[in-house]
Amino acid sequence: MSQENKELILDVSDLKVRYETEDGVVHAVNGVNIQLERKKTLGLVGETGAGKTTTAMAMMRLIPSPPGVIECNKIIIDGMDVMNMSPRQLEEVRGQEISMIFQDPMTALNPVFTVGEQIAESIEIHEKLSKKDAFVKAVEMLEMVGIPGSRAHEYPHQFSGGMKQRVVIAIALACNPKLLIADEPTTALDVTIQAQVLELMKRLKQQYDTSMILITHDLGIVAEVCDEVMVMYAGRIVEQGTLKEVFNHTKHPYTEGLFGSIPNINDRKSELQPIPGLMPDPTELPEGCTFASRCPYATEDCEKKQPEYRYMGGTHYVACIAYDDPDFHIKRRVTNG
Amino acid sequence: MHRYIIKRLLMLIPVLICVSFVIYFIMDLAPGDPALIIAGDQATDEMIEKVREDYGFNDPLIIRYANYMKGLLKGDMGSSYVSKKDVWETYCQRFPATAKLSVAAIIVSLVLSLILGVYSAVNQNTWKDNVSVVLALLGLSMPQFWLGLLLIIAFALNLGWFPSGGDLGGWRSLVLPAITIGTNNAALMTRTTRSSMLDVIRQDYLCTARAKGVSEKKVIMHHALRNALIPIITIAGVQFAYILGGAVLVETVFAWPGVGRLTVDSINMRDIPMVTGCVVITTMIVCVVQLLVDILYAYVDPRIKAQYTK
Repeated sequence: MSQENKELILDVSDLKVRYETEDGVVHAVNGVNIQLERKKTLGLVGETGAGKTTTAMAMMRLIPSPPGVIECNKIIIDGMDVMNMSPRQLEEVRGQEISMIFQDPMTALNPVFTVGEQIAESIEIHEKLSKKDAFVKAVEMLEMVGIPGSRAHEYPHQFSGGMKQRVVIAIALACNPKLLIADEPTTALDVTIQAQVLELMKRLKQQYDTSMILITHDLGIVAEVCDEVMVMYAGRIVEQGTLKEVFNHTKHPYTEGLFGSIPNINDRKSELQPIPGLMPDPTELPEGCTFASRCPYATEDCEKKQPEYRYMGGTHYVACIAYDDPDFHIKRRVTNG
Repeated sequence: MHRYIIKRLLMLIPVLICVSFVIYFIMDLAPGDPALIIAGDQATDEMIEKVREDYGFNDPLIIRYANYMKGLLKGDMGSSYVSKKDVWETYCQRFPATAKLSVAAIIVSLVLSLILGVYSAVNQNTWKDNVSVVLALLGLSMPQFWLGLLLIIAFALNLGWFPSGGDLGGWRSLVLPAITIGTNNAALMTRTTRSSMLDVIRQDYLCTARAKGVSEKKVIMHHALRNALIPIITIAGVQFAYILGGAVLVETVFAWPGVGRLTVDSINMRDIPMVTGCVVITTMIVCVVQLLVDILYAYVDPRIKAQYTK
């Protein structure tokens, strides 16, 4: 994959994260490469426990240590290597260059400070403004996400879930970061609010020219928002490419499984096809392909060694040895394209 | 908020009635005849009988209690059987020493426990944490009078830095007794601080704060500690009220002229008005301190304030 590139906002190479606990070493992320161009949105997809959140936290160097250990060649954000930064430098990057929207707005806000104070804090730190000026800017941010500025003096418990997530978004965008990581930003919200929040994020992203990584297990959201997609399984990327490539020319059996688990609105009688089994225990990952035990196409060879990335044209890569056979194709029928 | 405070103050009335009755009843059951003490060693039977008649000791318990409460309603707590002085005045003479000591002791224990508790929570399961926990355990298991004596030997007798006892005015005579009480209380408060901080330290909003670029020190001292304060304030309030009621052991070791010794001396003398007076006033103080603690909650946590105003 490509060398130093000025157009890249994010360049992560061979990221590994493990948690060294008393019950054994949990291999949460096992060699992830991510490259993201400016202003693009990347969707990081996978089921619970695939290592999506850990990957995101590692990029901000927010993995608690101990027990967490990050090993990585480089994590370059906007030309700066986060891996070589002192705690002081990291504090400057966080919130200003890269910021994060968390999954659960109910717990992501500090209950004892007003929402205005919480937005202003970030502005105060990074833009070196006085408390008062920062608060004025915080009120502007609040209005930007559609909350009346007069509510800046209220506490999180006085807001609904959707409103809280708007506040979290306002905090994340307060200092106009170059890269925004949204970790399942709509999972904890009900469906009508989900659409609103997504719409808001899309609008603000365009307004601020922010690049974004959207972590989700909802393929519908990916289709709506993302330019590129990475499918993650057991701490590895199993398939990556543009939205079109991954959605319309699905290659990896796991990605196929994910699509199979979506209800089909055109055929209400058809049953869902869940992926059988569970993800392997991250303390004892198998030697070969981690998906082999659940894969309908698995052969004996799959369990021997880890599949390499295979180039499928365009920017499309897949980690599956089945494509050693040129005639192999998965069963999923693609309707358009 | 005002309605809440008024409601709480009204609740004081039944509490005071119960407490005063219980203490009156217990003092009546206690062995020893106050009339003998009042009349003195040389008294004849007639003199003792006359004392009984004068003080109303021959009346049934309920009548005596009713008479006491009648006085109390008028603001008259009676006068001591022994010194003949007014109970309220005697208490008020002793109270400043106790108040001074209580404030100093609670400051010592707050400072010690916040530092140790936060430090050990941040370094959970490391040797630093273990050292803090052992220190707290040591403070908890050391008897106050013994620690007091050790401090006197070291800092009063050998080094001569502080006086060994008595309230000589100024801060110097406060230091040793305050440290003695403070260390003991700090032990429990350290454990409370530690566990309360451990609860908070894993909360998502600390991650939000870090992701904003807030420094680790500020994350702990500003974002986490503020949320961990409620249990700490609770314990501190209970302990503060407890010392205000009189720290008898420490007052004895340091010859401190506080209300604790006044109460115990009065019990030994069967000085019923004095004992009842001390207990009733102490009850009032404890209730008011608890109320202050509850009001403090509202300032620490806006969610609790919302409940009060409902």
